Amino acid sequence: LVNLTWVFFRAQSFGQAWTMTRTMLGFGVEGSVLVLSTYLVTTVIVVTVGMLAVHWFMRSRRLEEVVAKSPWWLTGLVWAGMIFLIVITQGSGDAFIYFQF
Amino acid sequence: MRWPRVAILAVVFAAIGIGAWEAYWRVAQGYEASYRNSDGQWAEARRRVDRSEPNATVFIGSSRTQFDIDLDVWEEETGVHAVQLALEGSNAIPILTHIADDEDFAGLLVVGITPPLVFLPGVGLRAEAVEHYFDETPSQWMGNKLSYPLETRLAFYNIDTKLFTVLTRQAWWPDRPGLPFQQQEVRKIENMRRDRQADLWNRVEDDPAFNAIVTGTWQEILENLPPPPPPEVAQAAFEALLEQVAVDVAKIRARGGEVVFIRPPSSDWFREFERQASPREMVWESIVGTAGAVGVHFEDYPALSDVRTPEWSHISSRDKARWTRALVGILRDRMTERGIHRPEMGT
Repeated sequence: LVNLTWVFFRAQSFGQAWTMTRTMLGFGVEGSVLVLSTYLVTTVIVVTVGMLAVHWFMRSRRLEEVVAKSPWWLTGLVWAGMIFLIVITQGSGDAFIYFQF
Repeated sequence: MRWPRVAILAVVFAAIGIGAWEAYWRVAQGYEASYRNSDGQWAEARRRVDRSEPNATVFIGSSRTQFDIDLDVWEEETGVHAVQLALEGSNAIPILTHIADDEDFAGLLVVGITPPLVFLPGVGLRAEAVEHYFDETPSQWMGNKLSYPLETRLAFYNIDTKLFTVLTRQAWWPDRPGLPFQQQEVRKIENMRRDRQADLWNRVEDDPAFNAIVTGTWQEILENLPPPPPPEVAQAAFEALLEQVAVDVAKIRARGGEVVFIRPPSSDWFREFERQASPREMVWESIVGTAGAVGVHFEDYPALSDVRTPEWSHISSRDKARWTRALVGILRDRMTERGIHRPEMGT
């Protein structure tokens, strides 16, 4: 809902806002062109669904409780997975260790 | 929760995962660890001209100049360990201006011309490298230095193997019909040294599937260039470029330096494209003529055309030593003819 209202905040005119909203909801407009590849659409859907699922699961739990109740090896493996993914994603910028101050 | 156990488990399994990733890229895909050709690395080379070697031999140009020159052979022949400042996908002329504006430089500047790139507005792909040279912060400098030991040891630490890059290029993503042209990323095709010499990765030559990917990428890029500006605009821009070249060369000569131009080889489809888009008389001859400088075009010398360019645009790593040696000899002769005296060239 917030995303829909952002369109109206940001658009230069009502016409533009309306066009944007219609395309967001899947109703193409005259002369509209696809800009997102399947890969991008998929990643957005996966991340959004994943995020919502985690938020739902955590709605009445605290992270510390969840971790305390998990077996120690599971926490370790999850951390290992996160470290691994951070490393192989490589991130942007030329330096692996990126200081910014 | 026993944190020490958790931490050790995390580190051990992360290391196993990273080790497996590294092994995959090295063994199954043949990658080797090499420098990343970062902006910081360019700045490091550039600083050699600024601080310690103002009379150096400096190479500028596009990736062809970077790949085709064998710096060790050059040093054998001339006694100078040249500074390699060529930048891939970039126009050499703004860099010529950049060097001309450096009042310390009074050495020999070798400018490699890749004709289509001369029409890029500005520097092109690696414009940030020049900006980085001027604006590099101490933390960026430090970060770059810390990155080097990783670059030389980890084969997976390169542009091709980033997780999301790998995911994006997989063939199993369905196409969306009607999607406009999506430029594939340029694959890693070189192994680079600390002094910025790049050697064409042998896989480009030896693996037909990979070779097809690379030549396909060049074709894709060139076939999908943005439309050129109207002829009057293009003509005016080119004339401005020629004037700039003349001014820059004069500046360098006034300080006791010298500028020479080289045209590294290209072949097949790429060469054909260049003939159409940036013909020799129009681009090469104009630039060399306006500079009043020695210009060595690969097509004029059998020794410089008799090399393999496996992906149409860069010399095979197996032929570059021979090519460089021939180039030095030819430059020497041409400079002697013109009465240009450069002790490092022996003229």
